[in-house]
Amino acid sequence: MLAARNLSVSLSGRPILNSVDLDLGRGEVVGLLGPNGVGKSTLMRALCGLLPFKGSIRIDGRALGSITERERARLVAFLPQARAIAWPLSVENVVRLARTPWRGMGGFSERDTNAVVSAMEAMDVADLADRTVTELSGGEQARVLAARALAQETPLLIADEPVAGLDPAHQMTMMAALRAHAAAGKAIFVSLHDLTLAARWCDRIILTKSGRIYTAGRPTETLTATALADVFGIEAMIASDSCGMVLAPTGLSTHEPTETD
Amino acid sequence: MLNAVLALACLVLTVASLLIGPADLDLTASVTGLFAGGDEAAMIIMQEIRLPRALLALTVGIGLGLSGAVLQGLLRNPLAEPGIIGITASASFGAVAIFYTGLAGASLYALPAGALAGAALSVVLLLGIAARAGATLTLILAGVALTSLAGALTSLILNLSPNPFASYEIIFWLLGSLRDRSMSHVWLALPLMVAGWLMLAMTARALDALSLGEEAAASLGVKLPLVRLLIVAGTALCVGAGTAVAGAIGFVGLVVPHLVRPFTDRLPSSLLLPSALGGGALLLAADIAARLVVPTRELNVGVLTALIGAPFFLWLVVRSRRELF
Repeated sequence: MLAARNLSVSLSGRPILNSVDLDLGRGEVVGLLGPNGVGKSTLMRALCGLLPFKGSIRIDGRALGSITERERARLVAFLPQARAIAWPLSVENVVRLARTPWRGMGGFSERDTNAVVSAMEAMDVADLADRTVTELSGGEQARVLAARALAQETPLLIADEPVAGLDPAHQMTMMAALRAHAAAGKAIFVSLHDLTLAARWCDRIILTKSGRIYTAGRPTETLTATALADVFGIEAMIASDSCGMVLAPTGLSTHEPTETD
Repeated sequence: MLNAVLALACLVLTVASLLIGPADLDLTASVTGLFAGGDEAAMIIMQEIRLPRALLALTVGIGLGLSGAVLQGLLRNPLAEPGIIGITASASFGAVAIFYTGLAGASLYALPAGALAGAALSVVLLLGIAARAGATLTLILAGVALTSLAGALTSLILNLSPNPFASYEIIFWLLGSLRDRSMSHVWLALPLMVAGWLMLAMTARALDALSLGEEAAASLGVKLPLVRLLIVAGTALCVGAGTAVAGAIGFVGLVVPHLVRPFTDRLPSSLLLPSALGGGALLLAADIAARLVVPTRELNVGVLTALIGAPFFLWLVVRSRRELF
């Protein structure tokens, strides 16, 4: 679905990402983890074609540099971390904005309407359709904006910390909706800070450290005590139950991290 | 429905504007004079004095209302307006500079060209600042600075002005007026303004997507550099051409989108046509009021719009601290 090779990004002359290789496949939820400021958001923006980059990014076999903005917007949807809605729009109108890259000069087609309706149902905001989005709670707004990203009907969805600021129940609702979306044959790339949430809901984990990929693979292979100490500088209790791993940070790690650069 | 009401208001006010003036023409004389007939005095009054005045009030108002709505959408800020972010002041400065150099007498097109250049320069500066800083507050502060700078440069020209009569002419022009304009003013400004309207109207979908922020809009396929360019050029054309023929008329672009917003679904695209029509209606009404308030001495329409607009803006600032728009 998505293949990035030798991807490097610099922002105002400062290198943020260094020769990153990354593959995302249909039907999988891939979690992106790493400390603050290692370039997770930069990586996501670059994959969406929102930043200039060196190297190659191919989505569905098509090079990101060679397609129009509109074509790109039909392949990748991006859910930014900031939940900013400028005007007191209705929930339905916010979700309808997702159809921007699909609409012709005329009005809404039946397919557009169906996409909006099913996205609102998937995020459980159909009941809120006529409510004013700026008057909703933070959790409801997050779901509305996620529905907006789903309604874009792209094979790839990139979500930057979609569960930030949500209560535990809403965090799980969000992850379940993303999983369901992946099950329908889409690729989901999501950045997270909650280790247990990532371990239990993602098929694969990518751990990043100082602009590079530290390790990538299944949660049990990547979220090890050594990796957590190296990447986050923490010690954690790692256990598992019938549903998957449980990771609880217990303190800052005492040993010096292994030098990887 | 809203658009129909506003279009009707524009029509009624245009007719009213044609029927009001110091010359005592009755309805029959006015109508026959307008459509080439009747006695010659009535014809001249209608076709060469009142018609251009009404047309300019309508079209300049449309441009101001539309550019206000578009700028508010682009900046995602309800306080944006061509006057507040310095475009009108810069256009005025451009025109005054032409006044001072004496080029205004040389060609009918010199004055509008100066106003257009001033408007374009200010918008380019503002967008440069916006692209660097990103925050809308920065842009508004930069606009305040730009307004002051353009105002200071205009004052400097007044200081340097060789004779008091020239200064008086400049000051009077700066107050904004639609008095004694001719059809050549209309033909000069109208094509530029129509081009500006079209450019601004093309950004409607992009403005909607921008409700979600610039990053989300870009991810929806919006070409932000192109949208900014269209808005720069479109606003400069509307406001520059409007200022060139009517002087500085403030606050229309700020007030109108706010007045019509509650009657729409608040999508920026839904606001464009009502703001355009509302701007036309408001400026027509203000221009009629300027003629009627003090019967013996006609007021400048720019003074009137500022008198109404400035308190409105103040109320807006106070209210915006309490609730979101």
